[in-house]
Amino acid sequence: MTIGKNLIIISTISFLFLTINIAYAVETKEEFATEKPLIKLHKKSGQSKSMAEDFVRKNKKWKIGLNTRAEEKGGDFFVSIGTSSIAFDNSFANFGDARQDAFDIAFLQSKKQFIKFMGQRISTNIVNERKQGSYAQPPEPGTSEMENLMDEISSFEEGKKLRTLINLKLDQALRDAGYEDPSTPEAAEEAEKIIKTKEFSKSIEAAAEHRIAGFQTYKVFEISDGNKGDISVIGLWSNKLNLLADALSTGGDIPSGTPKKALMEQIPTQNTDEDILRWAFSYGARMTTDENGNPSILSFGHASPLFDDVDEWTDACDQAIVQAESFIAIFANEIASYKENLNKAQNTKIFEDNSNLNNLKSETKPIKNYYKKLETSGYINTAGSEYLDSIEIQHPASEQALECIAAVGWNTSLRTAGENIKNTTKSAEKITLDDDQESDDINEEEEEDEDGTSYSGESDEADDDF
Amino acid sequence: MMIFSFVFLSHQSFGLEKQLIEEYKKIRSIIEGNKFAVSDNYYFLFGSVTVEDYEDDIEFFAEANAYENLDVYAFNQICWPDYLDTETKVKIFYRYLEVNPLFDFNKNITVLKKEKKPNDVINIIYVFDRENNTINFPNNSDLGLLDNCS
Repeated sequence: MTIGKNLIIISTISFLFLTINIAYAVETKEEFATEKPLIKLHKKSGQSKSMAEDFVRKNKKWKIGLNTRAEEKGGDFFVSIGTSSIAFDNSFANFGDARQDAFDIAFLQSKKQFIKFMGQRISTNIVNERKQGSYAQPPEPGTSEMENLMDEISSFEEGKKLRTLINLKLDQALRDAGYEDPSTPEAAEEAEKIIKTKEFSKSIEAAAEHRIAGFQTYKVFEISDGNKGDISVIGLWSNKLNLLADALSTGGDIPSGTPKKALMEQIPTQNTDEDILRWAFSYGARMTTDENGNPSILSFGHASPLFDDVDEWTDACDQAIVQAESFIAIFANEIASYKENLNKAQNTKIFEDNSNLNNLKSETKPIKNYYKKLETSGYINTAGSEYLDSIEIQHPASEQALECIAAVGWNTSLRTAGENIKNTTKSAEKITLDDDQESDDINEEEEEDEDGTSYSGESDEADDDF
Repeated sequence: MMIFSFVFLSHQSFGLEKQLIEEYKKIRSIIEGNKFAVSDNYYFLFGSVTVEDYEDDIEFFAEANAYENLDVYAFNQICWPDYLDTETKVKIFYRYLEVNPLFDFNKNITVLKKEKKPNDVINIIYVFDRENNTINFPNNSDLGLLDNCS
């Protein structure tokens, strides 16, 4: 009887406990339910970055950062991604400008990311070289060996020159830290510590920035819900692109074996819907070669007419041409300015004094100031650029989002004859990729939005001959 | 290669007002030459700035230039007697403007159009609505001069 009573009491208590517990659990779940919006994923806006990352990782099977590739296939290359929102102020008269500004910021972000990757690679290479003893016998400052090294440095390949100059700075830092012989294992260990310091990292990044020549847009992704949008730029750098930039800045080389298409044939046509869409997502300037193998620049400018009217369209297209021409000057002068600093460099101070990008705010005004300085710097005379074509489109964001997009080309044969000509035939050999060319995926998605037109799109890919 | 999708759901009306567009169309051919134009409901001012770099506030300098251009326009509207030299005319004109500025009110200035020219000149057209702004152009009698032109 007592046992039975006890069993009833235990059962009752157990039942009550379970009931309360379940009730608590339900309540807790409800609490979580109210927290849900905090972790809600954005459905559309801000997605261009994911699209770009997916494209890099899944479609191209590349990594963001350093990608290793056999030398005969063109050597290692870097991939980086930058993203910016489109600061759209509901005035479609400036719609083209807003998209262009977003591209400029995203492109700067991707450049900054590249500088970080390149800096990391330089640091790693230096540490490894020192550990392996390949920098075991540095010349003493002020000796004839040092003078010989400084003479020799000018003939070094760009990356080697840069590492040598950083190594010399590192030797000095080691001496200052009491390591008279920088080749000892203890000194190599200390060197690794010094290289990781904030001050030295800055110095390395300033040097890394000077390897940016050749960095360019590979592909652009853009997405918008009709009110808010963003743009992501996949930037790419390879030794070959760097050498092509070298050829572009030092003279019009004619690399045999890589005849390409005329610039006119490298821009989208106006014959198919697909090509018209390619126009819409073509931004800024990029390097290529023309039908004769001359290093060339293709550039696209965007401008919106005030309203839909013949005269306003004419003005907008003039603006787009002026913008595209200015991008050619900016692109070429940026390459040439860094190349010139590298050529002049006898120590790393010149890099530190002339680094711009890493400290540049990712905002429209500082970028425009930087562009303006480059445009008028006069390292390269890009006069004689050739107007290729323009297109007048109605952007899918709105019936009122009108844009004229102009394509302008420039090649080194348009430079004044008699400049230093550098042959980069070897570097211009056809390069093939490990992975097969991906098919041209077309993912169509239709999204409805309360506010307006949603769209997403991506540019054409740049040439894979990088 | 190309992903693209879009849906039209609503016709947004973010653009310029129809009235402004129509009135701008009427003065479009003269604004660059005259540097000023007036329509039924708007004043249009034209300012230029040569861009050395973008550190300066372009719109501010172009706006200042637009007001200078307006002064010049107002100056040229007066039927100046031949016996006055330019220096005297300018003195008379600006002394008058010190007491009687061209604008009674000056608000809601809007950049209508910005154009960058290949020679690094940026032209900006500003627009004022006449409902909130009034420009008082001085005439000969305001300046105490006989009008021999009319």
